[in-house]
Amino acid sequence: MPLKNAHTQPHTSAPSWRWALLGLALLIAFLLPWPLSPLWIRIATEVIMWAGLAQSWNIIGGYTGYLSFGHGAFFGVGAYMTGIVMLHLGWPFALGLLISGIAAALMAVIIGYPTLRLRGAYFAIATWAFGEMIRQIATILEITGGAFGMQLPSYLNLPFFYYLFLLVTGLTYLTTYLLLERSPFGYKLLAIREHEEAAEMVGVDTVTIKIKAFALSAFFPGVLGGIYAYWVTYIHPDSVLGAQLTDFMVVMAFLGGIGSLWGPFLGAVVVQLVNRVLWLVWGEGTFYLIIIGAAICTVVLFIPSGIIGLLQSRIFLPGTAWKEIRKKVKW
Amino acid sequence: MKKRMLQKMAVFGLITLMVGVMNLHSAQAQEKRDFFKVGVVTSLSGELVFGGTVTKRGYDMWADTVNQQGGIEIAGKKYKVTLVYADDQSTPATAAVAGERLITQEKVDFILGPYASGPTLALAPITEKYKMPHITGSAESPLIWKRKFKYTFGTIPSVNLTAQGIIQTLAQDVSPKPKTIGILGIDDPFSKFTAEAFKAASEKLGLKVLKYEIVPEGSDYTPAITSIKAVNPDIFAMGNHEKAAIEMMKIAKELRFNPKAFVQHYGMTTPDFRKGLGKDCEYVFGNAVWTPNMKHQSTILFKTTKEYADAFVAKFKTDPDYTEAGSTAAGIAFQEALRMIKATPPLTDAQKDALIGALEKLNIMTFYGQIKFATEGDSYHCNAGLQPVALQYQGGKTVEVGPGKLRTVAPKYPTPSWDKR
Repeated sequence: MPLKNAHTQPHTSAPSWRWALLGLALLIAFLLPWPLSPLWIRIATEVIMWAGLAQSWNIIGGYTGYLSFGHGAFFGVGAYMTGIVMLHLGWPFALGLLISGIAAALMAVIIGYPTLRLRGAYFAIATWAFGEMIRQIATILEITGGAFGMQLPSYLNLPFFYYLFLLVTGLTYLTTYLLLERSPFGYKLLAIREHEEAAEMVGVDTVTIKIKAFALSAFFPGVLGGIYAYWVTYIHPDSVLGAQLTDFMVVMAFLGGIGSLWGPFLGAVVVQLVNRVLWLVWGEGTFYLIIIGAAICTVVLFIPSGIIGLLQSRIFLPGTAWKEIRKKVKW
Repeated sequence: MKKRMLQKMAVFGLITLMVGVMNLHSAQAQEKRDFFKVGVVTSLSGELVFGGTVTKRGYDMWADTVNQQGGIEIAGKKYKVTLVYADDQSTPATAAVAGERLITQEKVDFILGPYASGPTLALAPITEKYKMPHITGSAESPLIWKRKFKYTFGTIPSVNLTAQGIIQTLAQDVSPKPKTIGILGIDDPFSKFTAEAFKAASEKLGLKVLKYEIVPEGSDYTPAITSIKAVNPDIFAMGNHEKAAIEMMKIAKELRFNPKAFVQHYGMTTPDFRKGLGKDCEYVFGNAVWTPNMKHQSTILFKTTKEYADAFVAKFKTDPDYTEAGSTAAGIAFQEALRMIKATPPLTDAQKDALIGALEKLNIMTFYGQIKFATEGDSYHCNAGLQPVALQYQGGKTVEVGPGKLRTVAPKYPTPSWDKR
């Protein structure tokens, strides 16, 4: 799936001011829980979790060009694995997270082996069916609590979960940067995305590379799902394996700009923050949902390169805004 | 380039400032007020919006009636109530955020809880953390009560207790006695608990369970109903919500499936069931802890069940069902507990703790029936004051057909076949 507006060139060294900006952002992220109220810590935690999930999807959907519509299943598998490890085996939470990530990655290898030979809509359909299958299995198994769901012990420490999500999401972005933006592995994925047949012809083992990317993109949702389960304390097939989870990942990645490092982050921040702010302002009704839907439709329809595409343009320079908007926006 | 960088940093700084301002707003000191601020978490959007609307009607009915009467009278002075809603978007995660918002930002005095069990199970740890009294007027999952949350109560008895009433009536009070049953449930928590409760009650009362099927929500129920029809049970019992309740009955009619009794639970008590099926709802058995036909008398807010039902119809142009009544009753439980401890708004932390003590001691008669919360066992803090009643559609309305002394009309049994109706 060629992506005209996504990055197609390996990155050169970032200017020092970018590192300074990143350092400042990390410092703010680290200090954020101190001034924030519990409500805003919770909202910030959600934003960070979604940023990690959207980036995970971006690894297979954006960098590799394979649209996975069953990605929420890895999140759910992680949530249930942590629940099972803690409740049924009595093992510690940290071990549960590790097992969750590995289980999700292993599942991606098993599913990816046959399905990553499919292309386009066929892969999307296969992954969607896989997601539904996992949801139904979780609904009938006794060990998952079936239709009753699973109640985990309550550990109501908001900063703990904030920092844990921050750490895992940070690792997701660091891994993406090092492996996909800075290493031959990333260039191979780029080649697959831009022209798979050509990549095969020059000797890229496309199936193996794609399976590795899929496993990598499943590992982080598995871990994030495990943290989510302990954080929210109650999981159910509909809440951790529902199709809307994948939908959100896809929407956030597209809105921010797929195939880029910071696009999914921006998408997650905008979608989740707008969702929550509008929910806070108009939470007694549902009108805010229409506004969010309309905003997403507008961006996807008219700005296919996403928010990152707009930011990377010269739109913020005086006198060039209108020219850049006309260039970027697909009327 | 430097200019561009500065502009980007300015945008970043502005966002940070906005977050700070929003935070300051939330950190405002508790205001002085002479009304009770009541938080309501329920499903105003998402797949549970139907049920969320049902609970909202029940909670609104309580608040509006209290305010029409001048407010809750405490030590000679009346205090009005204001409901502050927070949409849980039908998800447990948002229910937790909603609770956090109502408690820390809106500074509510107490909380009326969600429609469904999932959001309730995510909200309960939050109310526990902030020691915030919370009554759900709808959630029925036994899981909630098994966790023994100190700050969470419920007015509707858990589904595993209520679903027994109709099976008991059919197993003991009709002639010829049915011997077999086929059970079909949906894989959501409430419906599956209902199906399990039907199964447990049947086995306890000597009915042979010929088929027990749990199917995914939203799927085509025809294959499952066909397989149950094939074993020809005397009773066909269904665990579901209102939409599936209608669909299953329509499929049974299409298949000309003629058991001696059709049994539903929650779905059959909703006005939509009657509207959706028309005359085909006739003879269907069901179960509830409350119907508008009951004869409860009270001195609190509504003098009789009929007064409540009439006021409800006048306000919402539809009959109330037991979830709406349970939601209104949740408000009544709070108002009576507040009177007991003579607490005036805004409640202090000590008063909130005292409110829990008062709720545990509460034993009142309302239009909804008795409210008395269990203080031990697997139904901890669930209303133990109500007895499930077996219902049947007769002449287009539900009538009480059992069990035992609760019978006001004899059940029509066996159900005539579809071609003889």
